Amino acid sequence: MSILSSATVTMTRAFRRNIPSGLGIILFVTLCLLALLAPIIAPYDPIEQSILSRMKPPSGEHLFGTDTFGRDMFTRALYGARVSLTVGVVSVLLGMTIGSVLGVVAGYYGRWVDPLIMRAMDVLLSFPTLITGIIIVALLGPSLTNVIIAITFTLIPKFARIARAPTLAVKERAYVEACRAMGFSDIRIIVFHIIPNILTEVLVMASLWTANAIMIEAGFAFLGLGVRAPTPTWGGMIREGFEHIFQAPWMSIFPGLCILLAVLSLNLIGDGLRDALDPRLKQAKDMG
Amino acid sequence: MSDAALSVKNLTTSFYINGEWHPAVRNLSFDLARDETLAIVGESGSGKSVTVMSIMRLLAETGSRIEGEVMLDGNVLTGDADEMQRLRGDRMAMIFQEPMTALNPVLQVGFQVAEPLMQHRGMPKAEAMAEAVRLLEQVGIPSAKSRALEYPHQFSGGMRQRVMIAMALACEPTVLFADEPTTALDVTIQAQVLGLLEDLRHQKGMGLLLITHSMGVVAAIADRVAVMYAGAIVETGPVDKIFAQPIHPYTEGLLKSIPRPDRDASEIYSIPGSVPALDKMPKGCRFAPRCPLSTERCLNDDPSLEMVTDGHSAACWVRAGGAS
Repeated sequence: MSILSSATVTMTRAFRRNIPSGLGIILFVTLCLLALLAPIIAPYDPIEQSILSRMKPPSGEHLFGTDTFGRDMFTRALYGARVSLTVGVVSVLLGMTIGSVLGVVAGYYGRWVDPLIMRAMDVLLSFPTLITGIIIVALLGPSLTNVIIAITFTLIPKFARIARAPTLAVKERAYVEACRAMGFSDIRIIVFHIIPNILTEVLVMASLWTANAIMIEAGFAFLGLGVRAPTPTWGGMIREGFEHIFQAPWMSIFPGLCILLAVLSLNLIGDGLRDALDPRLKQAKDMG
Repeated sequence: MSDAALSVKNLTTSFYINGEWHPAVRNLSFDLARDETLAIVGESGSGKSVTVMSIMRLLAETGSRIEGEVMLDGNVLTGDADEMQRLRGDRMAMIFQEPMTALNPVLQVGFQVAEPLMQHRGMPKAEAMAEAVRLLEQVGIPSAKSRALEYPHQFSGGMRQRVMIAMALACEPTVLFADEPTTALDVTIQAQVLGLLEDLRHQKGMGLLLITHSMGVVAAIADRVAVMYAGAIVETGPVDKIFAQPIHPYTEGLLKSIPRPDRDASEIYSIPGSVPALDKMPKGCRFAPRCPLSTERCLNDDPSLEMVTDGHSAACWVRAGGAS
């Protein structure tokens, strides 16, 4: 409860005076709602083909035009949002949870635990994101779950680093020493005293990396490593349109715009969070 | 004295500096009865805090060594890490000098007071929170029920120290350590907090071990005093005797250095020099280089605590014989 409430306080503070990040939130929430309500909003079936209406340009009938199989691009973009946002949010949630726990444990216990965990993270980090993803998808096969696993793996070491640094600072604070003097267990100290104090730093990065994860997923889909056709994904749609980029540019442009909007909204949120946390909250924290 | 709340025998704590072990606390022995306040007085670096940290085993394990025997509630502490964790905050608790930083800024005050109960008593959260409100009332926090839901930055320094006291008393410990509990507070608040500590000590029949460098605080609430210098007790006795007839020249110096309204600032006595560093301790009486009375013997031999009058002892060749 206390962890959530402190995060909420932080969030509220972050957005109160920041219009761009407010817009980012509105945009992101809208995208999530559209994705969620896709079956209700979508005017057509995302998979059903129609030879007669192939490669139609955008019109009142087909808002984003149609693709080579005559499928409505708007419908497919809505359904594609489900894949992109799911991958983005789920992989970041997983990566954040696992990575932060590893980072906090490394930072809190120090001694031999710290180098053990962090060197393992360095090894993971030394692979370029795309290569790690390709290896994992190649090993496990392309599917939604495996894409999430692949992206989670690339995020774990990043979150471990982000969580470890503030842990090192927080564990030296007087109130953590007071916790030891009160005989609190390590788990209690970590859960109630370390994590709430580093959560803000981690959440800022989480919002930025969700954007990253969405782009990585699009990259995988573009390379054919993602979710199998005919399930629509933004990256996959860009690739399908790529061959006809001069005859039917809308086929790539609209999914591209969708990615842009999703990434932009998350970056605005992340920037807003970071700005708000930087001078003001730090000050409030130290005084408090 | 088996009924002592806390009994310390020959406590020696050494630190590893430049390839050698140097004792920061030497052969320290004292008893603390229930419902008694013992004040440990001394300058910075005299080993007061290290003594408490050693008893509670809060020192980093690497680079420090603790010897001697500590008995809490009649039981000898083995120093086992799990056992110590169970006892800290339950049978012995501690109040810190800085109430500003010793509370977690992102947690509600009530939750922090409830935490020891959840940790040591396994109390469910709702019950512990209700108990926390009662504890906050007990330490004199007005409208405790709503204040319990507030965060530390909404409290003043004095109120925060009261919160710390509530936290420390949550499990009704046998012994309460207070490390300079009023140093960071406004003078007007100091007396209130000291009064509260004394009242609660009496109500709960705790032993209160007060660490301070202020003779004023000692005079206000201590029953007995132990004066520490360079890691050892140099004089100990009932508070009125220490103030009326100090034996050790160091105690005398401390008493003379209390500012008084009838004296000019220039007349306030100050003991020349400072406490020697751990690795540069003189071989005889450690106070000898700063002592106005030091003799040849003081520079070569270390005196031990000798009883001078009933319950009043000092370690000084000149004033107390100090034969070992």
